[in-house]
Amino acid sequence: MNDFEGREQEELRSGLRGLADQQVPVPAPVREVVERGRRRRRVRVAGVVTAVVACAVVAGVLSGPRSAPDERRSAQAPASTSTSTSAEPTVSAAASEFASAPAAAPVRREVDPAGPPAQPGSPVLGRAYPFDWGVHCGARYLRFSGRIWQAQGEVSLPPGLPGAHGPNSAPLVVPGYVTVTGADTARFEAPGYLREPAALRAVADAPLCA
Amino acid sequence: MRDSPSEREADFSRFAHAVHPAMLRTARLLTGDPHSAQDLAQSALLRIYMSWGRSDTWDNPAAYARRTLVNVHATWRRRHWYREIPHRSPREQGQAQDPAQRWGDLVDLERALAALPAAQRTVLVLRFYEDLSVEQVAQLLGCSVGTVKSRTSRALDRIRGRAELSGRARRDQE
Repeated sequence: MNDFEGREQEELRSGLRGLADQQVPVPAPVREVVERGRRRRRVRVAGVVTAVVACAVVAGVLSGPRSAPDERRSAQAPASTSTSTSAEPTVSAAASEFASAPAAAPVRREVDPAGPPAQPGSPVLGRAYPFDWGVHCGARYLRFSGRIWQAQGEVSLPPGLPGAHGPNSAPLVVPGYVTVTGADTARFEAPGYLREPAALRAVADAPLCA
Repeated sequence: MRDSPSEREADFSRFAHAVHPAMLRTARLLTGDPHSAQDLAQSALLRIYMSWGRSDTWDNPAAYARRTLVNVHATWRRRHWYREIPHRSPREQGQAQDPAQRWGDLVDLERALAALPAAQRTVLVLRFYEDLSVEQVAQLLGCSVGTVKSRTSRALDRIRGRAELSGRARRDQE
């Protein structure tokens, strides 16, 4: 920087200070700033709250079609049980324990040599319970949860069924699941053994060999 | 550690009263207009107030205030004062006839500054009014040192190009 530039810049500094001195001093607008700041914070908070609510609404709308069937099912179950009698299926904690393990997705079952699965005292509607259907006299009746259920139609049995205590034992059974579907209706399904579920209806009595 | 909002606001109030005069003077040079300077200083104070909760982490609150002022000015486009070139008021005309003949004429300097692009004007103010180094200006503006130097050079060239700002320095050289 030569001498001219140095003097020039000093003059510029002096001029800028002179210009700045022309600014009339005013009190700091603290009160206005604080009020505007508070207002802006309120607007921000309101905006955040609005955004959160909007997101929640959008999330609810998007997840609504998926959750609706579950809600309908849960709403239907108590309504159905409310019309049942004491001998009919009702909701109970004990029943839930029986149904907890294999109920959701029926898969091919194998016979437990230790013995048949325990049966619930009060089965939950719509829940599949493991059951070994003894078919030594044909698949016509079964005893489940203290009631007698009659097959509504002929149930064709496949060859090679296991016995009650495992393969090559007797009497023959069909390992599957019983699902109570109504006050007097149920179905038996046995993936891997029966091609299609067998419809059941509660009856008062059954022949000796059932 | 400031706990209650009232204590924070009291601290902010003390800080605002301390820095506002300097902010106002710098804002006057940046905007070229006393009324816009007040608006700019108030907007900068508002932005400082909104972030005052983090002021404990600021190394130099005054420097933060200056940086905020410059940033607000750089992004302030609601008004078009940055395009306006002030005219001489009767009071300023009287000052222009001052025989002392300061840097040319303050009013003409103001007009010359107003004719500069905002970026060049900001660099001039920071370099020659705030007396910041080239590196400090580059850091404050978030640009390179070369950019600051080139803007400074261009701004000085444009000011020199104005006939009314030939200045005492040039006359002295002659």
